[in-house]
Amino acid sequence: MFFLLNKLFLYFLPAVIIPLLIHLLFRKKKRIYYSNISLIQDILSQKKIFKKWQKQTLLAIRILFLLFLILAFTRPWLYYSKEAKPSKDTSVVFLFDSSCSLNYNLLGETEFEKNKKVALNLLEQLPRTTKIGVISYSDKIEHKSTGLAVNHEKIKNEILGLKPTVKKTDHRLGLTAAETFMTESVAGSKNIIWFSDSAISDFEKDTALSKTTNVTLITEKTAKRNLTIANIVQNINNTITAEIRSFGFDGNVSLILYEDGSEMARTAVNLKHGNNKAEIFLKPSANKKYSLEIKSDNLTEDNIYRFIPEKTEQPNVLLVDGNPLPGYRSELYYITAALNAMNFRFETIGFHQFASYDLKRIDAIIISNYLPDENILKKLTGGDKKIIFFPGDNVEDGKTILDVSLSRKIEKRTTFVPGEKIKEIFGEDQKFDWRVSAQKFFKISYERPWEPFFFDTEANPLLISKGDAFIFNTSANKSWSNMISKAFFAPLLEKILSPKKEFKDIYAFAGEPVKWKYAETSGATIKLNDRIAGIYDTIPTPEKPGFYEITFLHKELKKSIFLVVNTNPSESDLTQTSDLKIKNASVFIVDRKNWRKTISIVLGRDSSLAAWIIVLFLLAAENIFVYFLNRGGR
Amino acid sequence: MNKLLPVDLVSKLSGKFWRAKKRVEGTVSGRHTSPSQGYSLDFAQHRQYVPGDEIKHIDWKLFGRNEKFFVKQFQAETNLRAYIIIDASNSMGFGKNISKFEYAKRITAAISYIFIKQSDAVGFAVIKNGLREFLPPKSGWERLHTILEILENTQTYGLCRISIGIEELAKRLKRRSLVILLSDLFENQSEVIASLKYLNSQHHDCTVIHLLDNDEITFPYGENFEFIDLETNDSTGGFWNIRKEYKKRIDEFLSKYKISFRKSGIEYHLATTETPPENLISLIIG
Repeated sequence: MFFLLNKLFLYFLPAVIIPLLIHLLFRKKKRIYYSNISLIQDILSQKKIFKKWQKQTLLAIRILFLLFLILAFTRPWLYYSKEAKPSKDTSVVFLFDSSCSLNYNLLGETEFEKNKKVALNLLEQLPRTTKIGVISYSDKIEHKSTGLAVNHEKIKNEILGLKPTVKKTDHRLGLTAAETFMTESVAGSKNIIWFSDSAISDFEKDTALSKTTNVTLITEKTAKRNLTIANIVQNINNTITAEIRSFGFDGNVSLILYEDGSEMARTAVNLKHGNNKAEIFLKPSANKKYSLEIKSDNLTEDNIYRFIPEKTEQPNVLLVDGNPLPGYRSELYYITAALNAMNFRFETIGFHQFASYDLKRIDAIIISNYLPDENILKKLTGGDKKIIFFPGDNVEDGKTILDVSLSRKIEKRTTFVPGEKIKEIFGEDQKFDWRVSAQKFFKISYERPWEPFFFDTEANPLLISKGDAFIFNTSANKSWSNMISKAFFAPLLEKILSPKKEFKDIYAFAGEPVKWKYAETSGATIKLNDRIAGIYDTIPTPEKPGFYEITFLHKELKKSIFLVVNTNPSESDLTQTSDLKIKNASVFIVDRKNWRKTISIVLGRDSSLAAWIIVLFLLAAENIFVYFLNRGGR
Repeated sequence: MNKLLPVDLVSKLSGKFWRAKKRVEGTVSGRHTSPSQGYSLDFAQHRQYVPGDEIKHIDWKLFGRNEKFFVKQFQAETNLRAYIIIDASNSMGFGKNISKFEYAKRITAAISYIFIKQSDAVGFAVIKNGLREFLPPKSGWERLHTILEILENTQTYGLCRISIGIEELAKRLKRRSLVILLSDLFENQSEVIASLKYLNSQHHDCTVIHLLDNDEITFPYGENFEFIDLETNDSTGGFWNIRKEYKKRIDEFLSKYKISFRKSGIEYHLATTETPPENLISLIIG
């Protein structure tokens, strides 16, 4: 049997109905009242059978032509069987991405280890005559075989000896090393089996390979949960209501209430795509841990999803907007969206209102693009309020309040009235230019009011306070604040802001390595627990945010604080690669579980030639058929 | 004069003269050869003298050579009795610019005019499901008007059945006459040929003017056409392009008529409706 390498072309399948549509649309014949049709009838009677089926035959030929044309483009590939001998000499390079992201795991076995297992399995399948090499790379070549070898035992040992790293990735380095093997090889079939979690977009812009090389990227797609409980509400009438959000799930599930691990109540719920509400007629006992389970055979990840309610009260949040440009799609936009999604009570004020704002009833403060006065900051950080800073996103360098407030002391105008709206200060229609307007409306001294712990490469400050939580918006690239635009931001925010939450339960993202290196040099020590593979380059995905716990011990403060640091959307963004694409190579992306497909790509046969021959045959048949049909007309 | 016989056509017909190819029997002296010997200048034959013959007709030169009495006989000239028969079946209604029937009407009017003008007697009949509207031959402008009136009021209808119409006509013809048939001849070929042969064998001078539309010869139809018979309402259904086969068949069809009529001494003229009437008439009468 065969599989299709370029399944994308199957989207063109509906095109096969085009001849049928043409046939149906133009089947209405033009009627001619003719003097005498006996001559015509005589002619037709002589080729009656031909007349009856001629159009249907032509239609079938055309449909088949399109069908096989699409099939040829999809590249049908015969599965490899051990009985079949490979048609030509084969050389294979096992290329391992051993960067930090492959070191990531939740279930005890890292992705790298899984890849090694697949490679060993593939090695078993390959004929003994296959020349094989092994390369492992991160931001440098970690391991490289001395050359392509037919000694599979040696290769096996090399694979077994590979170790993951906590370094970033340079794909081009690995691919270039693999290419040197391929260039030296004289085999008829050259293959790089590449184990990486690289995104396709990254994959395409890395390097150019020697000719006639197959690159098979072994990766594993993570299934996204198709159901989630967005909120659990305890009702006055001794019931609880679960707000279940369905992402394409349509059907029945069981909703089960557990209390201290024992099943207390169960109800069947019919769910539709979108938001659903399900009620369980039993209120959990006070001071007892309870959880909800959704059970169904049609869940994408598992057949049970468990949800543990975290809180019952929502904090009061103050959102301080330091961005003077109205309508700008800054952090504020995403933070507001997240707070709304989590049903937080919050109020948004301008940065100029913050100093005089009464903070008594506020549980948590989120400050965007603004660093308050040193005294206020000390007062706040010494208190019991959680403070989250989004110090700046550098969208327009030198124009945010933060940039000014970090380097210059801002004093309010004597005429400033608390609660005054920003447009009342600057004028509604006046385009705000901070460099001009700030000096015009505020007294600015050139003293640095507060020394940040350090600045990162993008001039974002890392702030350390006596306690409480900080979120650092250490955007990896200059343009955007990545974390808060991601799906996990809202539940993360909820987790941090929950007033009853103890900080030791808060998990954080490990972020971009450059910044952490700064932290290390500053004297901070980083302790990892068992659930994090490494602190560098750990890439949580939007589907699996991966809340990691990081204990950060400051040498002066001697107190555990919890940092939630933004990460890059992809670690590959850190590697500055040229715009080279992988040229001269056929690239296939294969699921790690589908090892049979991988081995078939390497050793199986391309059947598309057969499909092309049929296409040509059908094309010729169509032409000959039409010629004979039209011959009567000339 | 009339829409079937417009003034410009009449002017083009002036000086045209239809001479019968065979001998015809008329009632008065005219320009056409009569089967009876008469008194014209054209020598016909010698005949053995029988008592009662006038002595002045004896050919004395021949007597000098053979010592037998022969009398000279001369062709008598008589006026012509012409029958114009027009096919008014539904198939004649076909035509791209002008229907064959309309065209046939014009030709009939023009020929009638020529005959009347040369003092010949013109008879007329329509064939549709047999013989209809039969007018016995008569000379004079009154006859022309009658014919034109009938032509104007006649519409195509039903089947033609030429052979039946010719048979009926043959029964009605008492004397040798000129019979001119205008038709598309889309009938059973053998029957049509046989009926006209029979008429010809009765010593009538037969002329067939075979009228077709140009499309019926060139068949400019490709695929995706359905043809419906004007006479029978039969349908062909859809079919692929058969132009080549059709042209072959129509050539055979026309050749068969041409050869059969020539063999039988029947004058045959094929014309399309695109031929100007005066040209066609010039072609026929030479």
